[in-house]
Amino acid sequence: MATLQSILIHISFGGYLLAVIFYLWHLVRAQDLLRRTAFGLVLLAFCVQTLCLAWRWLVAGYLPVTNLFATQFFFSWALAATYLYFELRYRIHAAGLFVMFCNLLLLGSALPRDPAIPALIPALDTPLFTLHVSLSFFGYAFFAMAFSMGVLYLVQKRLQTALLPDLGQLRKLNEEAVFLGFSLFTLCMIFGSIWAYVAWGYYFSWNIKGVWSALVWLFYAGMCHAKFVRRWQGTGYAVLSIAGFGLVLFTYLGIGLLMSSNHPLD
Amino acid sequence: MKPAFPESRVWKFFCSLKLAILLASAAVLLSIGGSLLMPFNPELFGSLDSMPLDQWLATVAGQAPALTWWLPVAGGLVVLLGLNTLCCFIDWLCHFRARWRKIGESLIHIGFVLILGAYLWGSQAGFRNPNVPMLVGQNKSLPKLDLVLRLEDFEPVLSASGRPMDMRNRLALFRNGELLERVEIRTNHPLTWQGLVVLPTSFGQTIRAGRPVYYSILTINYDPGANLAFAGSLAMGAGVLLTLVSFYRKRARGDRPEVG
Repeated sequence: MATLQSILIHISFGGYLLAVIFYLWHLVRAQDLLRRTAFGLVLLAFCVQTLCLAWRWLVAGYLPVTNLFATQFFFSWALAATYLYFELRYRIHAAGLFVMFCNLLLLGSALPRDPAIPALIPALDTPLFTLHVSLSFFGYAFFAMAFSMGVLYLVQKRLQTALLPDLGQLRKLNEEAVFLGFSLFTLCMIFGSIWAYVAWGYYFSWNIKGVWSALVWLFYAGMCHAKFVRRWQGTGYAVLSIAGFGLVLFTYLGIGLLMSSNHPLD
Repeated sequence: MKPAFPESRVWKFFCSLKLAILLASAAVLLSIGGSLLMPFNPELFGSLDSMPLDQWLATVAGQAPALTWWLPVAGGLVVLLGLNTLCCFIDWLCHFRARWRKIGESLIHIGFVLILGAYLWGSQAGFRNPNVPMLVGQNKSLPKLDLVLRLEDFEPVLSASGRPMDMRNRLALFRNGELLERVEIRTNHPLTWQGLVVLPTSFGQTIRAGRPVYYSILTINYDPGANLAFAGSLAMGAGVLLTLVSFYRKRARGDRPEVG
């Protein structure tokens, strides 16, 4: 079974890798067949990854997101799902390449790690944990998409190329990604707080991870307001999306790997 | 003639979006810098979770004001943001007929205010006892709440290899000798009673009457704002769901955000 799991993970990685290559090719030679092939590969890889995740969940009896391999695998799946949401809804094509690069990086760096599912410790044996973690990674995935849209907005403003969506569309996609990310992250914080209360006896922890999660929430709450202020629309919003993803990366990887926190990754 | 309360310029300033962004930005920037000091000064910040914030500010923060000043200042900015959010919510109520469609956003706003108020209340009037050892049959008096907690039974749950898996404690809560509650608590299943929360932390072994017996280590916290915070989180969660519905309806109509 471990071999089958490994095969599924490698198939999905290969699918995403080929999809990125085809999208890059599509950027150079704008052919519809290349784009369709790339999209088909993302869809195939996502289906295989979903199958693998479902199988791991079934075998473990809980959503396996308790170590670095498992969180990277789940985050990668959430990124692919986010990409598919925007592709199916807005036909963003290669505009979501950054998210797919992130996906490749996450899944690629997870490949050498041991995919074995660890025994669940009692503190994590609650649906609140599942909701908290899954919503958190979906929030992060939408923030990654917002980052991607922010970067492309700045590129498009300078290059004015037909290869990318127009500025109005990029702004709209950026705002939607931030709004959806903020909504999911808010629900993640609510479930996390309730879980913290029943597990530790307080609903807000001053641990560095708790503080930075609150900062990420406050930052994106500010962004949800900033889109109504003319000065912050467009370029300002794109810059904020980039800065916000810096906060997200530090909160997930920087604190998880470099500092001692109550959310250790390994 | 001066405009009436909901239309006055001062009131509009207190409700303003730009003030919210300014306060949130200042709190985030200050906390980013300040919080980076936390992992390098565990002797100062490590005790933040083991006592209410007010107690920490009064007893620990003063030991190194140069390293801790950012925390009350950032907290003050967040409180001002909470007041700004409350003004915004009151303003929404004053214009309910015209703005009822913004109910989702307003629920998120009032949820934030309730959670913040609850945290301040708990920080000021609560207490935390993170490691209370108790033997079976022992009573623990909680004079502030006029309550007595008794550990009636304790059993550690061990795996086949002897690894601790869980801790089962049967607790009884009394006031003036009258039984208020009797529950079995274990990991993620605490005793909760009007802001009091009792949960298992660890356990140990000691010798009694010449034989080894287990004792339980409990966390006994009291936060009078806990129920209010829960109400706030319900309001916020409902607000998020309503806002999502409203967002997709607006997008379907092709609405764009208004320019402020």
